[in-house]
Amino acid sequence: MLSTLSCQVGTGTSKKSRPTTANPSALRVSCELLRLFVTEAIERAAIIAEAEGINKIEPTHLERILPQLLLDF
Amino acid sequence: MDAGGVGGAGDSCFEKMETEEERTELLRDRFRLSVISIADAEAKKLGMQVAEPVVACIADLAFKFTEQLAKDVELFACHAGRKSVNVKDVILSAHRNDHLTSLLRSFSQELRDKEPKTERKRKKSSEKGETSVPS
Repeated sequence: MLSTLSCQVGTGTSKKSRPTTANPSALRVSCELLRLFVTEAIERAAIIAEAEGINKIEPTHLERILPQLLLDF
Repeated sequence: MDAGGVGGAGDSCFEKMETEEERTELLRDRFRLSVISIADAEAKKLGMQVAEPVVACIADLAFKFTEQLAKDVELFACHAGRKSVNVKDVILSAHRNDHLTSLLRSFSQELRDKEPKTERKRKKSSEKGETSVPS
């Protein structure tokens, strides 16, 4: 799926006839990167929720961690 | 599906747009499913619940992140004169965060270790075996 997405983004403005492809290992590492993104988001939001003594992660918790998360990635 | 505001374009171009939009939507949905499973697994590990809008938001964010990642990684490969994206390109995209870079590096190292066929290692071991005694 990531390869299709990469190809899609490539065909937008590129002058090349063939879309860019990706190495299988590169795809796996990209998947790991994205998995880390999602995991980190949940973990950081969970810390905020726990600090408030709430058991459920709410949008306000996500809001609070978002700026630093986006800077870190 | 509604015809997008593409004026003046020929029929073939319009059709391409529609399929590309549909493709993006399909990818977005499949992507969201994966993110939901990752988020739920993580929340379960932490013993907490996640509100649905939170997961949906993370999924959309991750999708946008992926689009940017794909663009960056393609630029890096093109800059290096390659037509195919490499593991090094992906690791380079995380250059702003040292911790993240080291995590990705160790992950890629693990992948390389798991691979059964490594020609370079073979060459090294054959060289060791072939220690010719100089006469």
